[in-house]
Amino acid sequence: MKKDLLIAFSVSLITLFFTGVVYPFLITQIGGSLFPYKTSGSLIKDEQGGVIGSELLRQNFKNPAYFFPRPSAEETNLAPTSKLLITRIQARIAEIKKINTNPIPIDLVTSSASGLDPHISKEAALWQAPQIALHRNVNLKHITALIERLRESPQFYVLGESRLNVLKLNLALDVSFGVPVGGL
Amino acid sequence: MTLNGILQIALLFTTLLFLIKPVGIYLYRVYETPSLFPLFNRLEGKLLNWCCFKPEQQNWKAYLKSLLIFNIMGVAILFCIQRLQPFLPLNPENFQAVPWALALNTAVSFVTNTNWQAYSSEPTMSYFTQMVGLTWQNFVSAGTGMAAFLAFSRGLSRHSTSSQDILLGNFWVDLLRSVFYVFLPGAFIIALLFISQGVIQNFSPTLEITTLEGGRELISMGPVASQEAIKVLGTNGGGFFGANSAHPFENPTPFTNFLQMLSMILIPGALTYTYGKMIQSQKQGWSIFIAMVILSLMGILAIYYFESQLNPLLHGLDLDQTPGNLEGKEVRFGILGSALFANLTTDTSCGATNCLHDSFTPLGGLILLLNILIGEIVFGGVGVGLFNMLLFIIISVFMAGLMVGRTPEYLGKKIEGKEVRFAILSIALYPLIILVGAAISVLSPSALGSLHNGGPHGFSEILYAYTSATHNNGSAFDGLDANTSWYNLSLALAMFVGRFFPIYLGLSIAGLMVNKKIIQPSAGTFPTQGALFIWLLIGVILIVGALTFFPVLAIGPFIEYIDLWQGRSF
Repeated sequence: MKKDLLIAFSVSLITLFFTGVVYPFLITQIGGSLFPYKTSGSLIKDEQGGVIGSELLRQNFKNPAYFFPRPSAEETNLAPTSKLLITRIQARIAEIKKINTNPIPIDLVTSSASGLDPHISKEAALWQAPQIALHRNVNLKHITALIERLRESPQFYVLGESRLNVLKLNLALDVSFGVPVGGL
Repeated sequence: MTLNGILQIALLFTTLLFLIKPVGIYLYRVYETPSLFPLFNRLEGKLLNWCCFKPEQQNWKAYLKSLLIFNIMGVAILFCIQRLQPFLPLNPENFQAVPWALALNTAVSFVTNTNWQAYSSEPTMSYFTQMVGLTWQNFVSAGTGMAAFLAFSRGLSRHSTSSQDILLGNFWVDLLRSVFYVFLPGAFIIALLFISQGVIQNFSPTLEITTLEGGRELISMGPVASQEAIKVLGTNGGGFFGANSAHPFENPTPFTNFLQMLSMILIPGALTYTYGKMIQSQKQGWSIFIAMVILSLMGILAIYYFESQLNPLLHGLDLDQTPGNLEGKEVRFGILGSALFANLTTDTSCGATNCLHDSFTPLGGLILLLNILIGEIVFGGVGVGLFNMLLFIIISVFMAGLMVGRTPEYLGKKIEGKEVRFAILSIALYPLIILVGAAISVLSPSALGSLHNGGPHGFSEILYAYTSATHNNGSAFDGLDANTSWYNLSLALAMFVGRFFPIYLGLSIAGLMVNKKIIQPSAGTFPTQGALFIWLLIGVILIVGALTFFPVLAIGPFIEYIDLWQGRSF
């Protein structure tokens, strides 16, 4: 028994050292030197070098001259039969339906699993386009062209869904049509 | 359901099919003929020296004893790391010690390869706890699963001529080989692939940023990629962040999603080939693999279909519901990427989630529950999946023997009363823990207070919690707030018994089987390969595994389904 305990302890220490210390530090070193931008969070910086977000993470947009992302709900994990879910979706519909009379794409009223989903579907972007064109005073054609240009196809033609990154889309709006004034 | 979705399923299973043989052969050589790798031999000599033991063969009792001592010590060390967190390095957010009930639950959870997380990682665990404590157990709990399988299959395939049954191998050697030759190299490659796609790996403190509109937001950081790789490869499933594989820093692109799914089923799938080599019958290995693939495909097609349905309670609203049930799912994965991931994470004992299982349609959620309830033998956890599958095979052979009226045999060895009793006991243990645990919780007002959903779905949340814990899965219907003393302690017990009691029973079967005389197969021997056997096995799994739970599933998901279509909400 004593011998077993001794072996168990030394095996624990050795595996702990190699898997819990050597391995993560090695990955940090190698990963960091190969992909420094990715390991630190794919952070987007402005001209002054301040971080304005990560291209992988959703951020909030309220200004009507920007595309808005999927809602970030306080209460998630709701079942399809949940009253709370139904009223939440109804409230969201009431809030945004004045933007466009067409049916609202489902991703714009449902919350994602992480609450950090940076993407919306192409349908959701096109649905928002008229409002952006209106508030930025540009032709709708230019907005839809921008959406088409920034649309991410399924990876390697098959994996995942066609989608648009909201932060990148809004940054591209600012580059093409200038930073919106006021609005908030 | 779209054509592209079907293509993605086909791509995943084709890739798996091509990898089964090379990985299976590699695993066989690592464990059974290590002399083929001179470098490994030298390393192993050093390791054994450091750990001061001789790699002698163990009988089943000695093997089990080593396994238990190592795992109980693992619980103790992990518990201490969490309690001492404020005094340890790499704690930039200055997190306090983890409360003791939660620390115990988490320690048991990671040691048993469950990775049930009653906490949300971001405001609880320091980088040190996650990296040194949790990542370490991600590796060695997977190694323990492999070791359990190796001892069991050696008991079935080897034959001891003396009465001393000392041919089951050595636990410490099997464990070290798993960690150093299988999981470390595998995780290393996968972690770098993850990083190339955007999974983060750093030690920066949480970043506070000013958004494009001038708002303030927090970005969590940490050494994620290293933990993420072993999380899927070792079918552990405990996320670095609370959102698990839905978090864009854990699973940023559809390709990482694909890679995570492939990693979950790679080793459990390849082990069927390794097993074929061990018993010198590749056909039997492939038969097990085909049974697994058929069961998995049935699951994924059902889930994909149900999750593509519209929610009838949202009819009449000004909505375009074409894609399906997107509540709790990420746009980049879509319905298929979420449904397939959910199916495989419950087929295996992984339990990582890239979508909210709680928000699945009633019947989509039912399949997830069923996948776990039939024993996680469809690929299953690394090692333990095939381990449990072998128990089902013993029962199938026994049933076939009853039907034709002959003494059942498996691999030329007679299956007798004791072995069958142990196998049945192992399978009957699960409903006992799951149903009793769920029943007590349903009767206790304080346990019901943890529910966030009403009606039959609330019941499903509790059922799912005990199912997931007992079968060491670790995924959850997360609406249940499980961080209470009752759930922390009762689920910790469920995880511990659900992990080690079947291992005990399996190893004692191995101890019995290794001493049996080999008899030549005759015309009356039921073949354990080929189409007939595959269908018998699937039938036994579905009847024995699933029917036990039919009543309890009827009052959970089935009633919820009827409610949904009759327009009732809660």
